[in-house]
Amino acid sequence: MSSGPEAPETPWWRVPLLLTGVGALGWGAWLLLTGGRSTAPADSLEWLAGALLGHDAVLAPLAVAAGWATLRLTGRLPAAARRAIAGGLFVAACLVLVALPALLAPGIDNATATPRDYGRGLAVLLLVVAAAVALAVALAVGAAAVRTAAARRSAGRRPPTAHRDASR
Amino acid sequence: MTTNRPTNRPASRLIAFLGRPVPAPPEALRRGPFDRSASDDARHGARSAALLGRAAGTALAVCLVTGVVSHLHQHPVSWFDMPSRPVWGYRVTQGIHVATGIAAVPLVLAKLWTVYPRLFAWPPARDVGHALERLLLLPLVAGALFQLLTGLVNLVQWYPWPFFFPSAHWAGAWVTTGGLLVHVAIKAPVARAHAGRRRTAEPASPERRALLLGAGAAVGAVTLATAGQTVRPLRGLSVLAPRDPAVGPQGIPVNRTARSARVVEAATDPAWRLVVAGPRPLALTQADLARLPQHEARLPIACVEGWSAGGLWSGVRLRDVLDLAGIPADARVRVVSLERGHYQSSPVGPRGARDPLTLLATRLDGEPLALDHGYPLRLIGPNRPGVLQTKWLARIEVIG
Repeated sequence: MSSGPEAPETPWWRVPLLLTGVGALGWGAWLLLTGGRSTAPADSLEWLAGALLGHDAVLAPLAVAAGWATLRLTGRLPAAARRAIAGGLFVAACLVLVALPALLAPGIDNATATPRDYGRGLAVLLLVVAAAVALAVALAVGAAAVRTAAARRSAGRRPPTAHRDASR
Repeated sequence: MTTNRPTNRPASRLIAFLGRPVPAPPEALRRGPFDRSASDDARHGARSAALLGRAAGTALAVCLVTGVVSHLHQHPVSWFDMPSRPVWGYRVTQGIHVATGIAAVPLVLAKLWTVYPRLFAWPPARDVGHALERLLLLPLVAGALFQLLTGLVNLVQWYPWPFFFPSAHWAGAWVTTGGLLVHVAIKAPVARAHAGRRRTAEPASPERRALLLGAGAAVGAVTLATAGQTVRPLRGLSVLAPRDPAVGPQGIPVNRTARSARVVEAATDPAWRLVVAGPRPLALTQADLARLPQHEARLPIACVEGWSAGGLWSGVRLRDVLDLAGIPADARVRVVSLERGHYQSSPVGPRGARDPLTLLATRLDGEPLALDHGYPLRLIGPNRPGVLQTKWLARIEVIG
């Protein structure tokens, strides 16, 4: 739609796909808005907007802030170690999100629904992630130290700080 | 076939209209997150966006297809009688639906993180087409997040909203799909250029590789942590699974207990009868049922919430009872529970009703059915949603 430099190699199916998409969108909107009590349009729209805002205004800024804080706190580590920490944080955050419904749900009269101790399960998983990240950081720091030593040997007496970011 | 070469006049006028620049907002509004140039970090680049978008989009597509399968099971259409085989059809499709939905959580979040700086692009819209493109992202992003959120919460049978979950999730699926198709159509050229087979080479980026690895690791972690609710060998590992397929009366979970369905008294009443409304009306006691030919079937209870558990059910064949009542082989029937409410009855098409594995079960794994499993009598059939394996049967009748 927005014409860029890529416009010439437009595949033939773009316009049919676009029209199908608009059709599906219209069908979904019609289902949602005319569902009466089953879709409760005003409430559904509220939840749609809430999901969007919950991400764009809460979750995403939190992720950006966490990324920034990680960078500030781990600035002295080799880049590979920082990437492992960031990746570990993302995995941990996803596990927390997936566990949240089971942790927050009010119990129902059914002992077979959510039968596990989800707080303990989540804690164990987070410990496993932390251990994996610690291992990756140790390996990255070790590899960087080996490289620095090798470089120092071949280049005489250069200060090691010059190699701080040369982690690969 | 439509092409979008600007050959005829209305099309070229439309393209010209879409290319019309829109005025930029005053520079004074360029504050906060708007007040910087988009990140040139490869993790926020087009290749990252295209690769993660492809993965997230594929996951959503799998959810749509498996969701449509479930919808057709639960809202049968007159012109298509759902086949009763393969036995594991519903178990596998809905296990995939929920596992893929859970795997989509990290994929969608990683994709949105990648393109998040573009939310604050300046100017917000270059031309009419760009403004429309951005507006059409609203249903896609809101829809995808809504589907993941409501789906995840539904897994634990928690309904903190006033709408009926299946209806809203069904409508939301089409909103999301529509937004996805529009987005794919718009972004196809840029995705091809950066992630297609004939893409222009880009310098390798350890940051981008780490981002993709992190997303992959998160997919693996959330999958292992939950898939054991249907993949039994993973049971011990899946500490976050909403269900444990071995926890329940007689070792099988239930979705609604007899007490919450308010059927305890009626189901244990000695005066219980199964009424079959047909050309030769029947009222069968438990003893009558025990005198009919008994059969066994190893069938899973497979729920739309993605869990499943197999059992050895025994009882009488539904088709034997229908024959006894003189109900013709091509009839659609309805089995009705003692329970009142949404799932009080379920339709059985001719294929399901005539399948030799479709039982009116009185026993599970050699013991009488537990009350929570539908004592004194329940339906159990192959390739059928758990919610339609109606429990506490009271009546069978012909539809239409």
